[in-house]
Amino acid sequence: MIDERYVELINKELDGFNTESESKELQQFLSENGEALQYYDELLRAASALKRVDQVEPPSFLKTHILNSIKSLPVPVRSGLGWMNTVLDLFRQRPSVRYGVVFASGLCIGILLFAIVGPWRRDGMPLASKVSGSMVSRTEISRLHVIDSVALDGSGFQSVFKTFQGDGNVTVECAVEADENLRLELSADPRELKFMGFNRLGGTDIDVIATGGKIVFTRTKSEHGLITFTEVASPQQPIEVRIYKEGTVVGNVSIRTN
Amino acid sequence: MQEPNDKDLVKRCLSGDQKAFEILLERYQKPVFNIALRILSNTDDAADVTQATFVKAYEKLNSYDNRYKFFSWLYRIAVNTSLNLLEQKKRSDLLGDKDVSDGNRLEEELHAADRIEKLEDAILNLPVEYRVVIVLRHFQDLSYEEMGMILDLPEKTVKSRLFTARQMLRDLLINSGLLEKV
Repeated sequence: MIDERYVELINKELDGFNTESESKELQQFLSENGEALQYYDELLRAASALKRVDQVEPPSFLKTHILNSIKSLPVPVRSGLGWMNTVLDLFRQRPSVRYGVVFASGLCIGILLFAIVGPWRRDGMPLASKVSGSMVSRTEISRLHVIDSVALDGSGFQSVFKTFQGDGNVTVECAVEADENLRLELSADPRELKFMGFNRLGGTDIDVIATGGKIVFTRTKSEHGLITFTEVASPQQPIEVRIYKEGTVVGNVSIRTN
Repeated sequence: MQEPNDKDLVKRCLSGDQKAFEILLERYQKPVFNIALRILSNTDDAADVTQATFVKAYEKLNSYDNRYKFFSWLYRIAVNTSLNLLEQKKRSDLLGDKDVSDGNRLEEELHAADRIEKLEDAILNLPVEYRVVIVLRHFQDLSYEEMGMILDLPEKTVKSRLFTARQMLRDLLINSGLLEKV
């Protein structure tokens, strides 16, 4: 009984499909195994016998018959637009085209998903983003009831914060003047107050970031604006204000919301 | 002038150039005929199958996928058409109809013709699935991969079937006296 591996090697040898190392391995095996050598020899002679069988010429009338049959048939054409078939052929034949199409499709889907999902996320849970726009104007603020007013002064800066009660909202007016750039953070309880918008009344045009319940002025020397929160629940917690200079807290204060 | 390749000829056919199909017919008529002949062992049946194969290929040309070799697709049609016809015939009828060899020979040729006839009988005595792989490998010189595509079989199955077919053929040739056992 010859091992399956050598049966395969013998057959592949007949077909000329063995690698050089496989042929050497087979020759070594055959030199040591008489049964396998006999088997190989018999298969070789059978294969040689098959080579003596010539290809037969088809009948001379056959070509004419076939052409006549085809003449009565409609011309086969690819369905669809010609240019589409060219594109499809390109897609089928060129792996680089396939990879390019897949990549571009993925990119488009990603951008589409971001465009669709993005706004929902911002609405449901404020993301860090540049914000602008006003909910309460300077004129309107003058008509609102003042809840609280605090001043926060420190080395090289002065600031005032006021909270106003609106109809279902709380507005914070903040005014800061400093010798150097400061970072200003206002934190409200997101269970009670949800950020609505910021109305810049004066000062430098700097980035304002709203994330969760925190409003951040990343760096400011001069700021005057109105930050409006809508009431999610009756506000009980104060708004915490922190001022940073070069990463260090240089001032903090709480301002009432009711 | 370089001969046009099969894919270009197919493209031309699909544009309405029937001359292109004629070139394909001239190129593959003989191998298709011989595949059918070795499976069916009857020249009339082989001619019918050849005609049916090319007509079917012409009708279905717009479904040919040019990622694959044209002759693989064509041979697949030929093999399937041959096997379908074979199912309609009994094996004993096949041997009775056998007319592959030309009987009009000189005496010294008769010996060789007799040997060929025994060889053809041995091929015919193989079960059809083993006969097909012998025909495709030994008469059309196709690779295992090409045979796999034509027969819609994994390469591993093709090899296994071919190796078994050779073993069976060897035994048949020894029994018929055509191959002396060493």
